[in-house]
Amino acid sequence: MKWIAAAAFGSPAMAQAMAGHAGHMAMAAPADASNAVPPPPSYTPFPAPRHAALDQLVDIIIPADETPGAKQAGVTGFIEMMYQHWMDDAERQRCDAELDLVMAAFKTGDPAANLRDGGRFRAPTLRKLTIYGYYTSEVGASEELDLNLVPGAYDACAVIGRNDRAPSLNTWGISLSLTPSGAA
Amino acid sequence: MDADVIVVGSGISGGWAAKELTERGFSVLLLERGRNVVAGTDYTTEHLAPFQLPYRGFGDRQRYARDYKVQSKVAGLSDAIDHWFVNDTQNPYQTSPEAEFAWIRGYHLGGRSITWGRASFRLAPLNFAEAGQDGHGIPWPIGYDDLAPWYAHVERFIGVNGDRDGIPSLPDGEFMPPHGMNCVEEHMRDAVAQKMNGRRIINERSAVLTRQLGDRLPCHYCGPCIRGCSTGSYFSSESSTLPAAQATGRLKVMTDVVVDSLVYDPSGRRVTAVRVIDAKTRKRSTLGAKVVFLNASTLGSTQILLNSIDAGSGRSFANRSDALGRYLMDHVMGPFGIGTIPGFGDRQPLGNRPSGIYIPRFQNVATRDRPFARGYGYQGSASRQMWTRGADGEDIGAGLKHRLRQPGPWQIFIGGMGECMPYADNRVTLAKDTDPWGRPQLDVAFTWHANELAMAKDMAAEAQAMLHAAGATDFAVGDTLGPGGLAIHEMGTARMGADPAKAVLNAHNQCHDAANVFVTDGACMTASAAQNPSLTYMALTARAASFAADQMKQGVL
Ligand SMILES: Cc1cc2nc3c(=O)[nH]c(=O)nc-3n(C[C@H](O)[C@H](O)[C@H](O)COP(=O)(O)OP(=O)(O)OC[C@H]3O[C@@H](n4cnc5c(N)ncnc54)[C@H](O)[C@@H]3O)c2cc1C
Repeated sequence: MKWIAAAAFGSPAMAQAMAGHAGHMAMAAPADASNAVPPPPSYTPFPAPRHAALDQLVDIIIPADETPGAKQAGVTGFIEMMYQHWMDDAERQRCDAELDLVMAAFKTGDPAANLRDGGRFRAPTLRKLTIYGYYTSEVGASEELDLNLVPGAYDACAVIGRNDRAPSLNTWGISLSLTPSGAA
Repeated sequence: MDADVIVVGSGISGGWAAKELTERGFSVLLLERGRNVVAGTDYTTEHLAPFQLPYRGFGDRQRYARDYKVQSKVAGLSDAIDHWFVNDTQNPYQTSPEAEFAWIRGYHLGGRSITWGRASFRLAPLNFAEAGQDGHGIPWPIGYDDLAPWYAHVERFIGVNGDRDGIPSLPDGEFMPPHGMNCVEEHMRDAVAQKMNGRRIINERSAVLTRQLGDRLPCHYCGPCIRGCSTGSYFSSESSTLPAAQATGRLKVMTDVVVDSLVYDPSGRRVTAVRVIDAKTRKRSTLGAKVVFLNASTLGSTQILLNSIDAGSGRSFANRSDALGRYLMDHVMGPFGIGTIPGFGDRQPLGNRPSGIYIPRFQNVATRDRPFARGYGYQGSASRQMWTRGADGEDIGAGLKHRLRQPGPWQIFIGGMGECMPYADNRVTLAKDTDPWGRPQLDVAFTWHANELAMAKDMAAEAQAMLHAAGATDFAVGDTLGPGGLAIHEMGTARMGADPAKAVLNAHNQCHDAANVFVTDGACMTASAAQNPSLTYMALTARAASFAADQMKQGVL
C-alpha cells in the first residue's frame, strides 16, 4: 500500500460525506493564522568535507537496495537541520565528536572495522538520527515502509505475510530523545 | 441584559451548558478567551505525514524550552499539535519547586475538547458513597442515581463506544459497539482472568463513533485524534455541542474575550454582571445576564471567583466556606508496566485505533484490602514495536534495513490512574503579580501525600503481576509520580457539598453564596474517583442546566 494523500479517503462515499461535513459549523470567521503549519526551518549545511562524510555515513547505515537509502532520502540535510535548530549544546558536541571519529575512520584502509569498537557502533547518535530521519522521510515512510494516513477501517488482528511491510506510523506520534541509553 | 445566560468557556463543559440552555429556550452568550476555531478548516495538521511537518513531529524543541516550559511536560507535544496548547510565557502563573503543579491548558474555541483523550467512564455508586466516609473529604451532596439519567443523556449525544461489562465499580452506559481488542490484548485478558481470580480487562470506553450519529461520521482510524477530526468522529465542542446550540438560533459566541471577574450585589446576594477584557486590545467592559455558568476549566473558573470581590468583606463573595481554591486534586498517574509478549508474529492491526483497553478498579471494592484508601484503574494497549526499535541496536547496513522492514515484537503497556484525596493545602490563591491582561495570576501549590504514594507503589506491583500472568518477557515497571497536573485531570477548588460552611457549591452546582452563579466544570468535584472525569463534568453540567432552566421558568432566578 502506498502513501494515501490527505485528501483521499477510504471510499468515494466517505469522501463525499466528508466534503459535505467540512465547515458544517458555520462560525463565520476565517481560519486563524495560529493554526497554519510552518515550513521546515532553513539551515546551513555543514562545511563541505563534513557534509560529504555525513552523506557517506548515512548511506552506510541505511543503504539503497530495491528502495532508496538514507542519502537519497535527504537524511543528511535532516541531521544538519536538527543540529542547527533542535539539539542542545551537549548533543551538538556529541555529534561533532562522532563525526570527527567517522572522518578519521574513513581515512583508514578499513573504515568498516574502524567504525566499530568490538560490537559497538562508534557513532550511536548519528545512527539514531539516521534511522529517525529515514523512516520519517517520504521515501522511508511510504516506499520502504507502509504509510496509510487514512485507513478508513480497523482490523484488530489482520493476518500479515512475510513480505508485508511494517506500518511507519502509530496512533500517538513518535518522539525523539538523544539522551544516550543508560544515562539518567 | 446581553443574554439570559452567560456561559464562560467553550470547552467540554461550557459547550454542554450552551447546548442544554439554548435547547430549553434561553439565549446564551458564550464567552471564550481564546481564538476562534473553524471545525475542519482549522484542523490544519489532521492528516499530515511526518515529512509534511517542520520537525517531522519531533517538535520545535528550542521554542518549547523558551515558551512552553510547562506545556512541553505533556508527552508527545509536537509540531503537529502545539497550536492547541498555551504559550507559557504569555500565560504566566506561579508555582514552586517544592509544591509544583503543571497547569496544562488550551485557549481557543473548544478548549481541551479538541485535545482530550476521549476516555469516558461513569463514576460508580461506590465513588459517591465513599467520599467523606473514610476520613477523606466531605460527602457528595448527590448520589449515583441523581446523575445516572444525565450520564445516559450525555452518552447518547456524544457517542461512546464500549461493552456492557456488568462491573460494579464501573457502571455500564449507553454504548455503540467497541473498536475491539487485538489478539494480544485478548490473550492478556484471558490470562489475567484465569490466573488472577477473574480480574477483568475490558475495552476502553471512548467518545469516538463506531456508527454514524447525525451528520457525524464513524471513525476513519487515522490515529492522532488530537490534531482535530474533520469528520466529527470524536466528541468535541466543535463537532457536537456548539453546532447543536447554534441550530437553536439562540447562541451568540464571542471569542478573544477574557472574563476577569463577576460583579456581586450583596443586598440581592446575586451576581449582576460579568467584567470582561478584550484579549487583543485589553479594553475592559461589562456584560449582563440573569444567570452565569462558569466553565472556564477548574482553575480558570476558580481564578474568576477568587477575583470576584465582595466590597463589604473585601474577599471573594463565593468564599464564606474558605473552601474556594482548596482541595485541588489530580489523578495519580505515572506508574506503569510494559512487557514483550512472545508470539502472534503473523498478526498486525491495520488502521490506528483511537482507544485501548481498561482495567477497572479492583482494589478496596467489596472489602478494604489495601494499605491505602480508595483505588485505581489502568489504561493500556498492545501493539507491535515499530522501526524506532532500530535505534537500540548496533547493526547497520542492509541487515538493519531488512530487520526494520518487518513489524517488531508485540508489547503491552498499562498505565495506572488513581484517586487523589482532597487536601486543604493543595490550593490555589491569587498572586501579587498580574498577567498581561492585568488580572492577578494564580499561585498553585500541590503535593502528593502518603495515600497517593502508597497507591503508586501498588499500581506498579500489580502491573508487574498482570504482565507476568500474561507471560510477558523483559518487563519494566515504574512507580514514580511527577508533579501534579500531568494527568490533566485537575479538579476541586470550588467543591460541591450540602454544608455551606464546608463547600462552595450546592447539589445543583449553584454557588451557596449567589443563587444565579453555577460552576459545572472540574472545580465542582467533591472527590476525584479514579475514572477520567470529563464525562462526569458533562453530566453534571446538563443536570445543572436543566435545574437552572426550571428556576428561570419559575421566575426564581
Ligand atoms: C492531552 C489530554 C488528554 C486528556 N484525556 C482525557 C480523557 O481521556 N478523558 C477525560 O475525561 N479527560 C481527558 N482530558 C481532560 C479534559 O480535556 C478536561 O477534563 C476537559 O476538557 C475539561 O473541560 P472544561 O470545560 O472544564 O475545560 P476546557 O475544556 O479546558 O475548556 C475551558 C475553556 O475556557 C476558556 N477560558 C479559560 N479561562 C477563561 C476566561 N477567564 N474567560 C473566558 N474563557 C476562559 C478556555 O480558553 C477554554 O476554551 C485530557 C486532556 C488533555 C489535554
